[in-house]
Amino acid sequence: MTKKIETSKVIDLRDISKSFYLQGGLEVPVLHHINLVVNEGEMIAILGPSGSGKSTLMNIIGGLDVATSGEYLFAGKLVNNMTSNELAELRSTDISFIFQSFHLLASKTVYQNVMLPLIYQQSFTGDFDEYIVHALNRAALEEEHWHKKPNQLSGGQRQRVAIARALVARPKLLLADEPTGNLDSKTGNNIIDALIHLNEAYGTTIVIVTHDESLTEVVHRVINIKDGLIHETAGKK
Amino acid sequence: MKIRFLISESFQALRSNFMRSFLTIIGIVVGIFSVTAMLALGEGLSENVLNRFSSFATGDLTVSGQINYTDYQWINEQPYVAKSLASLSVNGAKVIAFGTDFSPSTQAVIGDYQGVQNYTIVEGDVFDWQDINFDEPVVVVSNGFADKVKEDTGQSVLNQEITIGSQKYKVIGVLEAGAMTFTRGDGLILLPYKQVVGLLTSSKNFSSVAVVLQDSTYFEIAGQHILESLNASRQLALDSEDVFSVETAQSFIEAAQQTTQMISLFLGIVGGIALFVGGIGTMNMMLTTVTERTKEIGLRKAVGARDRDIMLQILVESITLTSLGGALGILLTLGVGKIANQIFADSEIIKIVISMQVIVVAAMVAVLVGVVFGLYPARNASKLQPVDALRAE
Repeated sequence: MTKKIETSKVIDLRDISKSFYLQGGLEVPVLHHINLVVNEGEMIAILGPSGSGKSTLMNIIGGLDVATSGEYLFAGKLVNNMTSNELAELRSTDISFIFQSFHLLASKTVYQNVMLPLIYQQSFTGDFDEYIVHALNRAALEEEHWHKKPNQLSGGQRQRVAIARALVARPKLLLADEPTGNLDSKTGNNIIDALIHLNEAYGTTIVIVTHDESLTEVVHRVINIKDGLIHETAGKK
Repeated sequence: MKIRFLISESFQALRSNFMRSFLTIIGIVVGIFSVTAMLALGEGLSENVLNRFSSFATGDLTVSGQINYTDYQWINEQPYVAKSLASLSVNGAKVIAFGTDFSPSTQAVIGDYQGVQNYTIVEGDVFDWQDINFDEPVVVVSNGFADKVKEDTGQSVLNQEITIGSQKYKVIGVLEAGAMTFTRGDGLILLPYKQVVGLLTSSKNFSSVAVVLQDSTYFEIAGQHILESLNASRQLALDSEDVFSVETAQSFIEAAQQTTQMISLFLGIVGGIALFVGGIGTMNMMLTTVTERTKEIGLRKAVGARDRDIMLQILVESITLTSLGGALGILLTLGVGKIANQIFADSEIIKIVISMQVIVVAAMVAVLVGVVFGLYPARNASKLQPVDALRAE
């Protein structure tokens, strides 16, 4: 299947800055006047060393944090002024996360972990089982593992569970924070292949936050971030 | 978040921390058991005391004070009086039967004893209660006294002589009557008036007169009339209660009710303290849970949980804990109550009455404890920022 890049904007960051304030009011600026557009169907990497502000940028894009100044539009909707409930709704339906440390709930089975986002969807009327099975198949996790607990799985299998959980709500955007950071290189490559497949086969918009430069070869664009400033380079794909 | 997910999530969370949940539930079980047991004990006591007061408060009115025979006759002749009974208590008289000391209540009575007390003769006969001049050294005893003598001496007191003070009396009958069962100690002995005055007491006056009215609905008017008339005969203020007083059976029962309500309230408070401690245990567990599950809460928020969803989830976990504890506490009370009632079957005071009202109140209190003590941890959890929560170690 050939990849088709849509032109509609999923992410539109306009002059975004973010500062943290220490006790005593001392301002620590983290992001400086970021402008970034990510279109539907794109797969990009945000690349930078530790402390460069890439995780903060991901948190703002994912609606987990809010910018100090600037405008952020997600799929045309202004995110800046959203209430905490509206942000939760956004994360519930449109944005999903894959974390470096998987963040799977140890007491739940794979199936239950994948179901988690659906139980918080106010408007969900579909068939739970259909959505979960669909997501697990897309993440290419074999059925024999579906009713195991996370501690019975390998690192790669756990990350596939996290991918399935991210996919189950059928989001517009998938944010992956160091998705291969806790995996050996072979397993990490398998996870990257899985993400590429999701992007190419289903047109899922994916933003990967990483310091792994090898990923630049598999994405459309690379956003380099250093000291809270970005500059863009073309991906090698 | 739908309610079925809330409940299944809370059960799963409690199962995953089984030992801690179990210990917290034990705290609530003890608390609910204390509350229900105390309420049930209070209710049993209340029921017992009311039954006894109802039978003790003979007649519709009880007139107390220095009532002489003329006063009694005047009361008895009033058109609204159906039956009356005057009694004179003998205090401090030593009672000896077959060489053994006993401590029964001793009274002289005049009037319609049968009409007011509705006794039954167990053995023997009775003397003429109505005759003020009846003057034979005979007594009638309650079955409580007869049983006590039989128990202590092995002999039947009927037709035998007993000594009261320095006088000897022949027991001619044994009675059973509701009011007699209230008498503490060794039962009751009834004597003719003439055999008491001057011999066992220095007073000629009756201590009380029990009155049964023709129509008991007019007890207030009748009581007022008797009081005013007796006061007028002594040139006292009409509404004075210094020398005479009139109590209605209703007022006896109300006083008893107030007393038992106070006792029930006290017992309830004692149980409530145990429940409060259980509630603090629940709050402690929920606070620990929230701290331990900060990352999980962050994740839930990251995948779309609203503040309200998190708050509800922690609250439902807390309510599930206390409800389980409440249910077990109620079952424990039912079991212990049944056993206690069997053990204390002969007791006239201890009785456990577990009414549906007690069970419903206990269940509601258990839920309420879950809400009250779960609210603070739940609010803390709901206010966590997802970014901070996900970073938590």
